[in-house]
Amino acid sequence: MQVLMRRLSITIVLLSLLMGMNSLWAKFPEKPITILVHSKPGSAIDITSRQISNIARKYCPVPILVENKSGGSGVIAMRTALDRKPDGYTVLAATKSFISTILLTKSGISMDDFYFLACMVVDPEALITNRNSNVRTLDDIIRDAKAKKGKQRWLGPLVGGVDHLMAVKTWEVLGIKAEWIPYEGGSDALAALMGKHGAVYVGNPVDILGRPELMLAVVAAPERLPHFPDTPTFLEKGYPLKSEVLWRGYAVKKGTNTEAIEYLTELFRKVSQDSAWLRFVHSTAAQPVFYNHPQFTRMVNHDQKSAIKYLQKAGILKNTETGKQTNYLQWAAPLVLFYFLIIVLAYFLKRQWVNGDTVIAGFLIILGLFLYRVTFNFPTGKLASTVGPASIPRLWIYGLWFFNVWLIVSAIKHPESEKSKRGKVVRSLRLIILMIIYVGVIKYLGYYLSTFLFLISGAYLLNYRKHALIWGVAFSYILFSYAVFYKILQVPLPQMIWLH
Amino acid sequence: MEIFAELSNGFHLILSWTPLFMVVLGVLLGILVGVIPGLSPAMGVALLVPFSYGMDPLNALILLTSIYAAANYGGTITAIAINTPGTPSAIVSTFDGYPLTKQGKPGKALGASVIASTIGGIFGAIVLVFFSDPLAKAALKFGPAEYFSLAIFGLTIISSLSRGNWIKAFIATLIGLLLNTVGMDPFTGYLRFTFGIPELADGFGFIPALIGLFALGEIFLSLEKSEVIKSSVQKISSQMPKFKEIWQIKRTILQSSLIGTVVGVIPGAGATIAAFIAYNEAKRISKQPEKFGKGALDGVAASGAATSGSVGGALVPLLTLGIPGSAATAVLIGALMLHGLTPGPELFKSNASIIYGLFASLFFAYAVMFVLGYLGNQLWIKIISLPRELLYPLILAIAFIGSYSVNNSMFDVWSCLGFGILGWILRRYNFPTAPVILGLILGFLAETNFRRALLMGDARIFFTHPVSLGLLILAFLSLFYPIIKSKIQLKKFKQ
Repeated sequence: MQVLMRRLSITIVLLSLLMGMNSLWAKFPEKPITILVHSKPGSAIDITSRQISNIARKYCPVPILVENKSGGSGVIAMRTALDRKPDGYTVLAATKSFISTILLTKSGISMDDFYFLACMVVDPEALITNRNSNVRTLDDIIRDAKAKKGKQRWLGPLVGGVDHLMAVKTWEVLGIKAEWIPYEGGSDALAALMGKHGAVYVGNPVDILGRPELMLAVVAAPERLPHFPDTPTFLEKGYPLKSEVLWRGYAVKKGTNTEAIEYLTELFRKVSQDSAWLRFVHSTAAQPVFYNHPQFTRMVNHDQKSAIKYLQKAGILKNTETGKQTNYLQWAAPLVLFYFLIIVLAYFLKRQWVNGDTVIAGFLIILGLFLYRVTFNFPTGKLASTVGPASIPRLWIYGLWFFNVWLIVSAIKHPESEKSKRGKVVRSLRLIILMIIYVGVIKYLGYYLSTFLFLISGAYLLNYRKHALIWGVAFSYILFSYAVFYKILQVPLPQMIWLH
Repeated sequence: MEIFAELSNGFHLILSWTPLFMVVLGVLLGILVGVIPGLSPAMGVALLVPFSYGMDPLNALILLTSIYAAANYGGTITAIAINTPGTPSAIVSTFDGYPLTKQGKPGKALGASVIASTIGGIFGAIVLVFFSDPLAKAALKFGPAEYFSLAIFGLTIISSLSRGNWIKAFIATLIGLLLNTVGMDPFTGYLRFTFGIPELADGFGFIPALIGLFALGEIFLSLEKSEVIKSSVQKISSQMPKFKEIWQIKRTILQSSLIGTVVGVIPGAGATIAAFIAYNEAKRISKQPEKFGKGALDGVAASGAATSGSVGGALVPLLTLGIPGSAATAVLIGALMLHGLTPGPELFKSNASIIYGLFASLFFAYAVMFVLGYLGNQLWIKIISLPRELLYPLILAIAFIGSYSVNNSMFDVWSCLGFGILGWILRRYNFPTAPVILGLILGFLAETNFRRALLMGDARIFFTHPVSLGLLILAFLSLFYPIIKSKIQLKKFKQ
């Protein structure tokens, strides 16, 4: 009997496990899938992802949402993707630029943390020139570069990014030298090219669409592009740059279950053959492709090797780089101690010396000292040769010292200018502490409950006693934020932790 | 005149139900986006891009531009009503708008803002229609040296924001400039002053800083003064400004509209810098400059007109060059491309009807904005008539959701709170907080262009380029003029 019972219970457990597994396996997707995009709405990868989300509706029973997590050139989006469950419901939109980001930011993320599902678009790299200038074709570029002896200006986005690396590689292949002038974004650099502030822009064919003043000098494609039959390739000019592309694809966190991976791969394959999709990609002068996991991974690995090589060549990534961790506390602690010592000393020497102005000015001077010490760690590499990353912060610190010393002197000279008209600090501090608690507990209680409690306790804390009005206002604000932020604007407000 | 024919075609095109509905919807949404701190015009446009996908291109474009146009105005509402700039550029509206509210005259400030914004917007639209070509060509001439000098000129405005204590104003600016260097160095990719915090890779969020320094700082400070809370329960008047009052400041409004439009054309400068410069110039031509910062109607109008003027300005490089003039127009480019339209001069040939339809809709949008803004003012006044004990927690909650929704990140909320405490301490000891923001805005522009100019050549470039030199001379004058003037006045006063 006992044996039977045990067997029965084991069977039940096994059965239920199986059924549980079954429901896990069989039903992907059962809720909306989110595509994480690392840039702001309107960027190329954002538009591409929104197109996919739109077209995938035909092939997928659940909606596909696009969520923008911009910041840190992709670090924030990658981090977010890795922090979420590897269940296939979070798909990361990946571009070639992630390689540079990972290599340059030391964020602890690696390309190996991701499983590359499908590459959807490849966009050939091209050199773009101003039609109205005297540097138009590839031959012009080479001639001009030699004449200017390394002073020819190449414009583009961030140092170390995809376009910069393409430039470094091109310089090597063409046997020329030039100066890389970085801009905040591609469109700023394009404007500079139109204004003839530089000679060459490294970009993609899409950049000249609608801009008749610009022209493609040369493309890094195996053969001439159908949209631009007059533009030569590097290859026919005798330079071995045959397929330098900027790719856009999709990845998930490694360890995602195979069922989800298979489903998503198939979904991307279907989208890649959709006529609306093909039309869209062609309209951006790029090439629609479908590289599956092995092909995509091979390309990523190849690009990563090449990126390391050219980052080192450009002097950005040093091969002797040691991840030396500096302990900032080590300098901060004595400085803080010194600061308090000075204040105490001053207080005993002459009480009037210690007032709001001198305490703040003293603090800012000490803070300046600390930050100044931190700037010693800033790189002084090849690119920092003119004005390095440390110089401007130091300039502001000098200014801070100068004016704060002045402030201290004038505060000591005219102590009467300090007016004592202040009221009760406690009132403000109480509300600040309440706000800190509010922001702190939101993780646990979720947005709605904690906001409701905050509004009510805030009003009572300020000695307001019209109960009906307090509760009414708090309740309507919760309703308002639910309707406007959550429903209409789709802001993912923090949920109660137990709901996950 | 070909242009008039095209424009009247444009008006014909939009005179039907759907486009007009889009204008009204866009303006309504735009005001809402503007009013909510944390939602910038760019984000408002971006949020609506997916919705516009199914529409025909003209309607989509009308909807998105109407949002953009109205959001810039909407931001000034919260700036005036609760000292919380709803959009970055509205920060300048707090300088005089909020003092007017505190004096119980929010109606005057809100009314002046909507009138000036409408005039500024229409001015910008006219410039966009008739002068976009030469302006865009001129904007391209702006190289690193010119941008740097523009930033320096912008920084000199602190001397007129200082309200007497200009040492403290300089310190506040330097705090802003230094805070601005936190994050990735654009020239080497090195992470400066981030201390291993990944969220700081892009530096401190601008909107959390704005909300913290202004809204939170103000609340924390005014709580200290218990007696003020009691006495401020005064009659709040909903009276709008009289025609005569607006007529008196007509020059300020027109001048600010012009400044807003011109600065808006320059890619990378934008509405916020425009509003600061317009404010500074309004103060300079004012007969009562001492009233600025204490509730001068011309100060409110200058900000509103310049902010709205910048909309038309920012559309100039977008439509003539395909280069975005502002963050919101960058999103518009994306939206255009989703509809298969490539922004740029060719659009005028291939899709002239869309362009002129858009132009015509801008004029409608401003008319609608005026009406809705005027009617809406009564609602805002109702909200700020709530007792302060209720209003303050409510503003803090709005500050939370505003800073959160910029990036859906709790880090931004914490930094907003941090900036709130900083703003409180600074205000407590009579440091002006506006220069901190000025430093945050202009630091990047100044640093990157300074370094870029030096990469391209040597330091002489700042003085050999005429525009750059002119801006530097202006900067010099604008820096020392108020200081010298106040010294002279002080001497006279002492005698």
